[in-house]
Amino acid sequence: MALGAWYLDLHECRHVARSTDTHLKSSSTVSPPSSIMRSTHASFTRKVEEMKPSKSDINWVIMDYLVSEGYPGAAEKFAQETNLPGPVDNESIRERVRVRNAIHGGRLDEAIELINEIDPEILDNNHLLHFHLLQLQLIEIIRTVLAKPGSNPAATDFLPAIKFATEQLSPRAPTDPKYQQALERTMALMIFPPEKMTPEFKELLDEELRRKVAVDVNKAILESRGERSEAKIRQLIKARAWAEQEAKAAKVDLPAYIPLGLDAADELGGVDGDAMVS
Amino acid sequence: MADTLGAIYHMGSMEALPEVELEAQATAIRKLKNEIVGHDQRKERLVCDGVVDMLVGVLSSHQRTTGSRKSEANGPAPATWSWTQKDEVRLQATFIVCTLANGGAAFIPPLLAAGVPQVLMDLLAQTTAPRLRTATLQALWNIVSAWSALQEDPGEAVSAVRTDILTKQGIEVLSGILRSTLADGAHNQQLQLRLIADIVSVSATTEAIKVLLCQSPILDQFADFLAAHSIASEHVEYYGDTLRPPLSTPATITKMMSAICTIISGSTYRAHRFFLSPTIRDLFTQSWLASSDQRHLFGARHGFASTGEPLLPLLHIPAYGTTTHHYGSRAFPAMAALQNQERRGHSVFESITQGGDVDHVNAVCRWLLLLARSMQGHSRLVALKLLALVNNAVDADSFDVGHRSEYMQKNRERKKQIALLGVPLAAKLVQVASEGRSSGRDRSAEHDDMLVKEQACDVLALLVRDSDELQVAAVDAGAIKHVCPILKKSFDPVPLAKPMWSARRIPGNADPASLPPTRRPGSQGLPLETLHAMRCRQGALQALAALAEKEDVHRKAIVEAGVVPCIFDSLKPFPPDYSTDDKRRGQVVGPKDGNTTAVLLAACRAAKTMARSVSLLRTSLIDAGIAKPIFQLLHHADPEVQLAATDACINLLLEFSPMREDLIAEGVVKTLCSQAKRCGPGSANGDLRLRVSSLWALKHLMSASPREIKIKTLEELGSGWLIGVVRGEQQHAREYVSAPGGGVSVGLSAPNAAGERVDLLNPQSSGMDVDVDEADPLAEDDDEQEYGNDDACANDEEGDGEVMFDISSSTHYQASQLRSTLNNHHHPPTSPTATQVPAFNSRRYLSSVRAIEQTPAVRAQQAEVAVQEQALDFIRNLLNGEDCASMFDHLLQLIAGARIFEVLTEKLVPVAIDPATGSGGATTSTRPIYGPSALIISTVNILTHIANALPRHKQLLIAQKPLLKAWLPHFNHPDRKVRVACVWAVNSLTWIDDESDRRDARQRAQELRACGIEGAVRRLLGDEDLDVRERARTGVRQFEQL
Repeated sequence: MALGAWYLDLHECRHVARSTDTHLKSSSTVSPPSSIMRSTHASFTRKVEEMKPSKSDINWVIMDYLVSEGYPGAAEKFAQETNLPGPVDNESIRERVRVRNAIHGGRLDEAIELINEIDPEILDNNHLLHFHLLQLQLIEIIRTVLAKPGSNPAATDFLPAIKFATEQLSPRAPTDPKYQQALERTMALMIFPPEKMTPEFKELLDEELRRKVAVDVNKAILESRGERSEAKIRQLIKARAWAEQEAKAAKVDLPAYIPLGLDAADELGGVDGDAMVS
Repeated sequence: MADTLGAIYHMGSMEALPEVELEAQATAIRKLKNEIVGHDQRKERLVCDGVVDMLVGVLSSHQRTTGSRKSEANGPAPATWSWTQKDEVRLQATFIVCTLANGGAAFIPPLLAAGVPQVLMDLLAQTTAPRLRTATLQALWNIVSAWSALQEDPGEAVSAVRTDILTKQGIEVLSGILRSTLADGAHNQQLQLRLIADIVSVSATTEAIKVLLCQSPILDQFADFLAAHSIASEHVEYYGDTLRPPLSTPATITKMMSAICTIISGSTYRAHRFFLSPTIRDLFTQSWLASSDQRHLFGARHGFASTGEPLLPLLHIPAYGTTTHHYGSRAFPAMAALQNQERRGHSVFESITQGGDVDHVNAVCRWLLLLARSMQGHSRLVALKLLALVNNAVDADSFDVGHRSEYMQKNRERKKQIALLGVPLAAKLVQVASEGRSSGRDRSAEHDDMLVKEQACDVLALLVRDSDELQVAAVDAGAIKHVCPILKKSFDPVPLAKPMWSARRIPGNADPASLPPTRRPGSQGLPLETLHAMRCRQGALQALAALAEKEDVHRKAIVEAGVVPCIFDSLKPFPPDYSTDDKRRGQVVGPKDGNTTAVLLAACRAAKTMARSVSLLRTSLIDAGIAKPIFQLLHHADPEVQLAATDACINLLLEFSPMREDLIAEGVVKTLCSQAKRCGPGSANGDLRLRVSSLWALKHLMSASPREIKIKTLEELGSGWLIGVVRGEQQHAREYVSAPGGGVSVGLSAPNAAGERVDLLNPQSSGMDVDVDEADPLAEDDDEQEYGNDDACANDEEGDGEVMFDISSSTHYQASQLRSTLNNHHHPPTSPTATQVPAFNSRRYLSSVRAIEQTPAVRAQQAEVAVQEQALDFIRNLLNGEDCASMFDHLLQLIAGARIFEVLTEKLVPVAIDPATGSGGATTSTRPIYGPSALIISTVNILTHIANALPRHKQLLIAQKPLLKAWLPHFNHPDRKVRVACVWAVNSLTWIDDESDRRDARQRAQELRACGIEGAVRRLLGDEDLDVRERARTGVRQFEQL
């Protein structure tokens, strides 16, 4: 079990290694635009080759990713392999992992309690996030009813869901249209049988929603500790996209397509991902 | 929920409980916490059920149980901290306090009624567990922040409710935490630092708390963090060894700067205390390896090049003139008469300003500029605010030192740098706020944007206040263009959050008054959206007030932006029947319904500065009907609002103001007179500002008014009262002067007629040697005491006795010459231009700044002088104009002539004889000390008016021998305005009204000659001032014609 988790983590980190690398090359090349103006595609790729970001920088970015996205095991192993100092506060990473696992597993009440244990300020001040978690919990209650064998659940089966919605979600609903709409849609899940649902309702039952909320929760916890709410690499990728867009708008001579190295299609483009993993 | 509560109650106090039950208690409280987090309605119910008492019980039982192992908060945390169940219970209870306080203003009254802040502070003093400490600080911060929103609520008289967190002990605890290096991870430490800074910056609202904070080490500690941050970010190269930089994140630094701003705001002394704090001094004296002073590298020309490369853009600021023409342009000396730059009420500063260390001040300002430039958004704004506070404090302290050109030039450099590098940054932030640009989408960025919106205008106003140069710079950077939309926008209706829904009816407590205060939630206060609009509005009005302060062009631009109606709307308070409880009945208070007190104050200020324009008074301001709301505000319950409204009235009552008639019709005379008389004459320490402003307004009303108005006003005030005010507290002043031990000598504080600025505390020493000795009432229980008395300094003073001013020598009439004489005495070989103050001693300097600001006697004296000046000017304007003669006759009827002249003589004679002089060397003659020049000018002007009345009045005046005798020394007054006034009066006296008066006029001239006044006028023919020379020439001609 533990081994499996580690594997999964390592896979993540390879993934990252590739993307960071390409990214760093491209962004640092774009920075002096005046020289690029005069360069050709060939010189662009040459410049990319010339830029050798330091290994330790890349490792730092990977480490940062592992810590902020919550992969304590991988972070520890990665620290050993690269001689980087290990994550300072392993316990806080594990806290976040527990919260994330609870959300992924659909155990929302547990997740809420865990968050409140870390810092009650998080949910007390971020009403939207709190509402999302409660909405997810309502969805889970409905899901269990829908999942029951038998074609049509009786109306009374939904009573716990209605009670939960009345007590937990509806007080907030009139304060903002976005709450109201979310609540109405969620309640509609009790009306339509799953197979007749339109995509907008179906996505509520999709487990992807849990993942989305889990990411938000992770961000909020990091923010509450005054840390960066996002892994550095996400910012770097955004910066890269922005720079590319700006450069193209300024009519800088760039290759039409600069691979990011994240998708399988990119790898076909010649970047040999595995070679870059330490 | 109620049953959980009951269960917790039943468990009883913690000490008796075994571990198992403690665990159950912890679980129960945790469950309660999970119930209410994010659910405001449940919080309210819980409070009604009595949760607050339960929390106090749980939290304070802690103190009893842990009394034995009470560890000081100051010491380092024990290496092995074992987390006990008791700690867990406390942690969960603290979390509940956090959550309740997050519920908003409504929860503050019950929490305060139960004394929760105090309990938390005690807890903080005793715990070292990092988690518990963080949670406690968080709870305190939540309480304080909700409390501060409540302060702005106009409906409640809650300003009396205090949190009592920043008591002497409380501050010690916080400072202890700042000092301790926490064994805990960096995260908790930073969070704690931030929370402490936040608590300080929001709850230090009163002067008393700020003074306490300033006395505690906390201000220096914040300064240390700031300095350490600068070293870490390589703004300065630092070679000293006293700084041990603790690491702190940029967010923490911002909060600390904002805490510093709060502490030092409102006091020149505290601002000095900040930038002269040891680490900040060190920062700029230890930033090079060589032993010589390299601080010029921080200068404009070198662009803060401590690390080798210039960090600020280089500026070449041409040297200004070299001498004493600070009264105006050298090319047009006559303009000097129109450009009086002397600032009121600061004359006492003069004697010590030369001790100020201008290089250090400049380095600090540049450093703050650098900090602002290196930051973004709200952090940048806070850095600019700190810069503004420091710069203003320096300005307040360094007026009228024109005779030291080097000093002037350095001051100019600082001003210029701020104008070119600081003001545009602030204006840019105002633009960002005005355009509603967002810096990001996450919550912290949104919060940052909101703070910028609320504070950008305010900071701009603070930065450019009192300086026309900076005001022009701000307008050049587009300030008016961006401020006005903010003001307009603040009146837009905002979508207010709708109330929450509840399945149950909110239990209508039959009679809320029957509940104990700890179970009774208060009102929710203004909606947050409305509060935000109010803060934006207040800031925008402040900015307009500051921009319109000096330049008429700016005022016109503001009018053209179409915001005068907005100023009008901002003068309207919330209706008296307003109450936030109405919200329950569905009535919600929006931004158009009224204005908070802060907005009213700012609007009055804006109206005041806008009304300085004559043309606007006659056009847009009268069109907007600005007089009526201001008149109504004169009756506002808040004394500060009354004062601001009175100030705004002053300009509306000028003779060319079309609003004068309306205001008189409304009954402004009666109101102002009763305001002027309100504070009893016996209350020397009372707040005299309202009296000054009211008299000022009445004084304006007197000029060129119809006779009936003048007589009616005089009647309303009462001539006896008026004379009483003019005579003032002079007797008190005399007593101070003769106080033994050379302590506080108030009468000495102002420039005397002989021209010497007499040192406030130690009359016989030079400005540098000011020290607070034991006779100073302030020396007790203050932070300076630990430094002890400087013996060397005391000896210095002894030796100074012989450097006395000799009244018979005419060469000593200029303060500058006197100063150089003193300096030459100390350092005979140095040339006058190179004369430097001895090594700067910041402690002594600080104590002198403080003595001037905080000595009650000095402050009372300043207020008293201001009142007397206005009262004298009131009489002066009363006598001015066509009906001068009849008004004087009227005055003579009310008050006996002898009495009037007696009072006027009193103003001219020396207020004291300096007793210390006798102890000096050769000179045994005593040195007279005269009243402040403002009073002398007013008095002499009254003489001019009397002399301008009928011939018999002239004769009456000339018969006053003691008056003439007292008048004589003032012909040599160092202030040119006094000299001009004196000559004018003589000119009036020697004027021949008609043929029948010729004989009398000749006799008057003889009298004047006999008492030496003619000679004095002749001597003024060689005066340095053109205006004085010209008047004197007329005077001499008139003498000769007789």
